[in-house]
Amino acid sequence: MIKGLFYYDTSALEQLLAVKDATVFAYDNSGWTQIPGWTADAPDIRIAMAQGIDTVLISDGQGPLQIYNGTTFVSAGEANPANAPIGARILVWHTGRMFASGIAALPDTIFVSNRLDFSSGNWNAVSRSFRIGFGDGDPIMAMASMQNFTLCVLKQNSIWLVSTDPLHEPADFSTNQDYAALSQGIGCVGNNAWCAYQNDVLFMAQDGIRSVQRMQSAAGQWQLSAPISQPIQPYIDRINRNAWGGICAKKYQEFAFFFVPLDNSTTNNCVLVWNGRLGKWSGIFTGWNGQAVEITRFGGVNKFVFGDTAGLVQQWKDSESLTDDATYTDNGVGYPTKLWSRSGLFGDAIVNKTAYNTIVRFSQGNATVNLTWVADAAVATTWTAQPEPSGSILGGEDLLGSTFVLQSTAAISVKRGIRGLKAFNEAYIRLETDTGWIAVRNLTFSAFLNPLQG
Amino acid sequence: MSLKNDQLDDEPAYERVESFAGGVDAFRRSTLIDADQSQLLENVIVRDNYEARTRPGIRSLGIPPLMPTVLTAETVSDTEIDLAWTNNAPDATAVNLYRSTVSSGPYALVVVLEPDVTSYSDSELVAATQYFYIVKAAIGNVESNPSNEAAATTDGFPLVTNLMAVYDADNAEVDSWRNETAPTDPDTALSPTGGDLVINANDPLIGNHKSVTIIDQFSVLLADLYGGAYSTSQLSVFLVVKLESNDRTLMQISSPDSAMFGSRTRNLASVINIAQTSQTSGSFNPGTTSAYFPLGTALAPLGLMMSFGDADAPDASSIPADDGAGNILPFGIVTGGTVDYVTGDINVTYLDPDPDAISVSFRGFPSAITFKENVVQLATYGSPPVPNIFDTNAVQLAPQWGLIVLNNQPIYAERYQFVTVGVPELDYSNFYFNAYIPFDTLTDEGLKFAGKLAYAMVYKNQLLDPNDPSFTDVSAIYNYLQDRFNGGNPFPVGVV
Repeated sequence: MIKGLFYYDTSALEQLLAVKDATVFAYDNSGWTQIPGWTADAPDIRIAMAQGIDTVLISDGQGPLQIYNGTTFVSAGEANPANAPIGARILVWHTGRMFASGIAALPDTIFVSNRLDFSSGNWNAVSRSFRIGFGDGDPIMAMASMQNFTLCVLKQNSIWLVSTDPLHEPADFSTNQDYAALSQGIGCVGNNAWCAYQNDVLFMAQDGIRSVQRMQSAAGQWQLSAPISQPIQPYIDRINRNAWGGICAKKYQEFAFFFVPLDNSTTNNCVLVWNGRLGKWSGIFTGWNGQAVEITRFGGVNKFVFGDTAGLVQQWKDSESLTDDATYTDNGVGYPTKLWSRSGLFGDAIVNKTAYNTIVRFSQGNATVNLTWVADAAVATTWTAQPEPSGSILGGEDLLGSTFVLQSTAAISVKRGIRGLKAFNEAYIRLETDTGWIAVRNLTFSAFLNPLQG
Repeated sequence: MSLKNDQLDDEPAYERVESFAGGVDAFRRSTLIDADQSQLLENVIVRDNYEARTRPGIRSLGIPPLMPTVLTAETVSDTEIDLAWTNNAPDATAVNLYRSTVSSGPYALVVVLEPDVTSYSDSELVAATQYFYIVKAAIGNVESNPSNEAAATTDGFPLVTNLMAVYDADNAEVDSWRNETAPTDPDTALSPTGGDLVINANDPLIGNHKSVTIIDQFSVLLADLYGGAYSTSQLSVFLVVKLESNDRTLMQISSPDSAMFGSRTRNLASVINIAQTSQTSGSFNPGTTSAYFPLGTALAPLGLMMSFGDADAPDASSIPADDGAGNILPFGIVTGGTVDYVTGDINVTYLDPDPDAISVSFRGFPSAITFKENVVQLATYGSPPVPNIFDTNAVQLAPQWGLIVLNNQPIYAERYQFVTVGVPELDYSNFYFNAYIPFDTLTDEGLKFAGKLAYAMVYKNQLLDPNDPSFTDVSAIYNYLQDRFNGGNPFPVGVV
């Protein structure tokens, strides 16, 4: 299993660091190299990494922290107040200093390195450390560098904003560091269960995915904003709380991906996909068992990658041809596409209806599509259509008899009469494929009201 | 949401329609296909207001497994090296073993092993060759970093080929020898190096904890050796080389090869092919390399001591009646033989097409002689046939063998000929001379002698009388040979 993933970039090198079996591997966009010289204390330990001053600080939360320079590891010092804090599980490079936290015995303490130097001898556990909450029993789960020198500290049951303006740094951090609580009762569930989304920080709270920005906006109103994950609350409810400490998240392009463990899974087995540009949820991805996630920037091109339970690093093929069948396989294996509409009452919650027809309009696709008409929670009828990239209609029926053209010249429509079925009160349509790919423009289904039966 | 039927241009009249729309649909209220508007979106990506699309897939970047460590290599025999390592990758699907004869590679894949395998015996290797190994764990086609490199050298002797003589300015003496393949210009490519044997860096001898020492070298005028067809400026060069490995010592003597006669170049010294057969089983088939006897192997001297005779030979009367110990000398045509050096068994095939043949017999060393140490085989390889010696002189068909005692140790020397199976007539295309010389201590002096003895017996056609009791030391042998040379120097250059 991949227990750490970090993109390391300097003017001289580009490496994706992955930790598997307690060992660091480096990927240079062409191949992997096992980096000798240091191994984590155990293979099942999450590894924290953060880059600053062209090196990467690495911690397994057990032994001395390590500084990696692209080829070798150098210890950041044994247990000593002047060295990097051993046991740190949370690292963030912020305002030219390395912030370290997450030590089991000091769960609410943040240690700060010297400016532009976090090597051995450049820490001060006495004067450059401070406690968030001063022993309120709420451990720090994550730290995020935000705008205006603000460090967002995500504790397990509260959210804090720390002002770290270098011009107003206290001489003694332990007593004079400025910070304030953003909320109480809402916290972050895991060390990686958050992601920076532009100026915002999204995090998995106990009641769903939340936005620090929304919380901050609502702060003056003395009210708590709703989780942004409210439309997908059924999935939030299915998250295995015994394993949500392993949730990880990353923002990539307009999306925020939250890898979560659903149901009884103890590892992440589902991805909740948020489209921040549209402010909408894009449903879930299945088949991705990411345990660590990162964005690479080899050659200045962003790529979304994640490390999974099989010990592999997977790269998303989102930038490849959208009409190539090979784009729509996970390592050569197809996966299902499911699109279920919401159930319709056709404007009347009382009377029964008689189904008339359905129309599915594709812009492209190459898959065998199963269409199912579900009335009153029971499958009423099923049929199959076969759209192809050319846009011609094969299989199923094309009762429209002409090409459906909207934005795409390859748009096609599949229409199916569904008259004669049992009357219903509510109904919806399922559009499913086992493999292949489809691009759907819209679904339409129609029915007659039966007022006399109402 | 609901729409009136008159808002649809291609639908029949109906009361109401529920629309779930994801496309740009100007005349309908466009709704995005997203989680807010549906019960389930699985592996669907919605990037804009125009469509919902199957999400693109993923590809594995193929992170490798952990590399194996602590690779060790241990020599087992001339042809086998044992390897062992530690596997560290729980997710590996295979372990790939690589081998090279050059440190740091390039390596060639030897074998793909199961992921839990931690040892392997690499066999069918070339004797006296240093091999370098690495192992890699693999997940499918993705390999780990290589393990440490481990090296071991097979026992035995290397095959020394393409030894080239480098002459002095007068073309009279060999200044040095080089192991060279196809030198482009002997004058420039093979510059004298002061008489040392120069082995190229890539030669398997290097790093093989063995030594290669030129014990002796001497030149012979071809005219003297083969007759007047050769000018006095054409030389045949003999080289006596001592090869030492970790467990044995071998002597090698060179002789002219066909290339010399063909091109008359300066590359006069060919090299005897030695010791490519296994230590534990050797083939004496003509035309192949000869076997060698390792030092310290008790069974080794029980090797082939075969001779043949033909009653029709013009000089058959010269065939000794027995070997001096009452054993009748053999007749017949030996066609081939193999020796199992472990069991001591000798398997010989022969032809006896001549009805006059008296008998065919094969002899080993007398049981009273024990060769346990320092047994050296001298082997010359004379293919194609050496002219003017055997082709037309039937007397040479007589068995010729001798017993020489050197330093109070017996020396057996016997010339014999193998004829390939299926060839009913005698075939002189393959000529072997073997001299088995036991030394308590293998001295350079002894090797020099052996080399010149080989020369004398092969190229001067000397018969050595095994019954001569005077052969007790080198001087006695020399004197004997000198006598057989009618007072001349049996050795072309110098004196033993």
